[in-house]
Amino acid sequence: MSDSVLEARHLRKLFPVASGGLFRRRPLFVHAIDDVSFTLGKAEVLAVVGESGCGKSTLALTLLGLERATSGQICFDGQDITHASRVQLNEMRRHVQMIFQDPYESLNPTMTIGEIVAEPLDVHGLAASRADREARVIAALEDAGLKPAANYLNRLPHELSGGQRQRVVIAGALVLEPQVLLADEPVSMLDVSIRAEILNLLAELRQTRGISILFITHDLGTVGYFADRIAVMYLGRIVEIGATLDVLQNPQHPYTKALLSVVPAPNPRLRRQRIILQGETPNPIAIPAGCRFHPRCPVAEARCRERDPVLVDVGIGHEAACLLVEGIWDS
Amino acid sequence: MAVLNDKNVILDVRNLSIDYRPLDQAPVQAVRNVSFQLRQGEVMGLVGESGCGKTTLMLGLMRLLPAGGRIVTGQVNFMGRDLMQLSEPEMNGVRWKNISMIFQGAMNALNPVHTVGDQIAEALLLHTPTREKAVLDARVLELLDLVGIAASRKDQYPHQYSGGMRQRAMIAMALACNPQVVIADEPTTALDVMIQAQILELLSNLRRELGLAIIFVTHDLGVVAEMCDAVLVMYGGVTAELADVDTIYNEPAHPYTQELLRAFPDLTRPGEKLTAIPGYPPRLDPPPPGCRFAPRCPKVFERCTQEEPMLHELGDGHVASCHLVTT
Repeated sequence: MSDSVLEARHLRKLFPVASGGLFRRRPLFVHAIDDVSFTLGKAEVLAVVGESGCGKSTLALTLLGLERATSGQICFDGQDITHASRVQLNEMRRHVQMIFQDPYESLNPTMTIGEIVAEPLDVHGLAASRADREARVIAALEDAGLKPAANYLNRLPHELSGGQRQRVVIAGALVLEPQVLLADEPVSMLDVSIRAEILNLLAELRQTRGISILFITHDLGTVGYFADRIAVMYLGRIVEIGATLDVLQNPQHPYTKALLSVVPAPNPRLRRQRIILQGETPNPIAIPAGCRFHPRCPVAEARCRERDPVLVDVGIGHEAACLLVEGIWDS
Repeated sequence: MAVLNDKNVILDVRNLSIDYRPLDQAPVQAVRNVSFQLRQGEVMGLVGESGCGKTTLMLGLMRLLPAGGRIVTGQVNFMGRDLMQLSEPEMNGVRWKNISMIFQGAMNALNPVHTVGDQIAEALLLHTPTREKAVLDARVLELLDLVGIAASRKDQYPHQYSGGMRQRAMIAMALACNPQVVIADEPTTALDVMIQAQILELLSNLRRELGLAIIFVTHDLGVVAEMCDAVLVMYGGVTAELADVDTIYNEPAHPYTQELLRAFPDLTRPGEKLTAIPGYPPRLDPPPPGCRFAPRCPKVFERCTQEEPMLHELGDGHVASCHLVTT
């Protein structure tokens, strides 16, 4: 990918936890994001994959400035926005829009579709006139696949199906003509037949408008279809990142291998050995020493308990953070 | 796939039809003429989009339909008795003891003010004669062990459990009275993939160890391919197709089954384009004339909008309702 639109450098976000009383010297922290770096190129789709609690949603909120980073840097369009003022952040948010998971709860039930999609324009004071405002709303609805838009303008959210509602949410983001969409599980609440429709819409927007998309999901099954690259997160850190095909067909990190092995294949002839990790993701307050994945890792060795692995090259543009793959690839 | 052997059939559903009759509105024909057989130790997947009648069908055969729901016709033969003819107290004896259900969103169905152990004991008490605390306790621990929950967590409250553990607790409750059939309605939908894999593995083990027959209601075709022996595909309240799992995935006869499969992402074929099924499921008050799938069907022809297709037998246990397969 050419120029980066959005970049994170050594991003860290800690949340303080209510301290444990008089005698506790050091306050405790939830390590929601722990040293995360990546770049999102123009018109690129980067999928961030991981289980609940891995920090992927906090990552999106921090990128938007809705949560302030504890340390590290966020750059948008070459500008450092980590410590931007509210005014600067508002300006940035015109260009970086978020799509939330639940189309049933993210639309105001008392507003018409037209009002919902126009609201961001009003917030940012972008419409030059009433006519301009309406034209932009209609264009956004049609780009989101609600055609003809006139049929939807005066309807209320409850009159629409789940897939149509998610299109309204997308139209509300598109109306600002953003450069980046942060999509947090945009299809996980939808039926299979409708999922494909929304995924295809996002893929189309990237092509026609050159929009970059950060696609946050726990479902590896959907990412193969349109992500250019995949970043796999575990306990606040990226453990593997690379081109989609490389990660899917040649995963290097044991966590990625396990995650891939449990994605159900839609054909009984492809039933295969699953690597089922026992237990659940550990508490992000007490991150295990050494490699944070070692307590659940099926191939952990003694040294994994001692040294925290960093991302190393395992292929062209393909990195993994595992002691077992260090040095297997030299450029 | 086991050879058809009627001795092993434990649940035989014949032509079940269910209506919802809202006040002052036209009745909704939620389920029409659905038939299937379930054998001992068999896992049947029940798939279809939201609103296709899968949950209604399951509630109907348990006779747990909400107000306004009514069974219009049909038989549900279970171990020699037609459940539809039983008195309410008799039916009560069948629920949980013979057929139990893990409800959709069940993880949030646990009572927050009682310990998990007490709630499992309650399910036992309702349906078993014993009142002895020691006997109950032993059985609760046995059930927890069966679903992989440590004994030390018996006296904890639901909020101390993670989502996956709460789902395990719900499975323990469903198994409390040693049922022969368990209906699992979207049991893994709200869970992460790794936790889903753990729950699926648990259900597979239980089926093997206890000889359970399971009806697995889901819209996730991947889970069905992974878990099931037979698959019933429903569309708009009717059977679109019913066959063994290999046939459904590799030689689907009904265009709806074919489209559903093409809409489902397959990791083994990355880069391929997903095809959405255009349009929406039909309204059922009343359903459109002809085939219910006709408005969305890529292979639609004249006859489809005029005449409703009957279920046609294509081979051993393989049926589909489509005019294309009858010729």
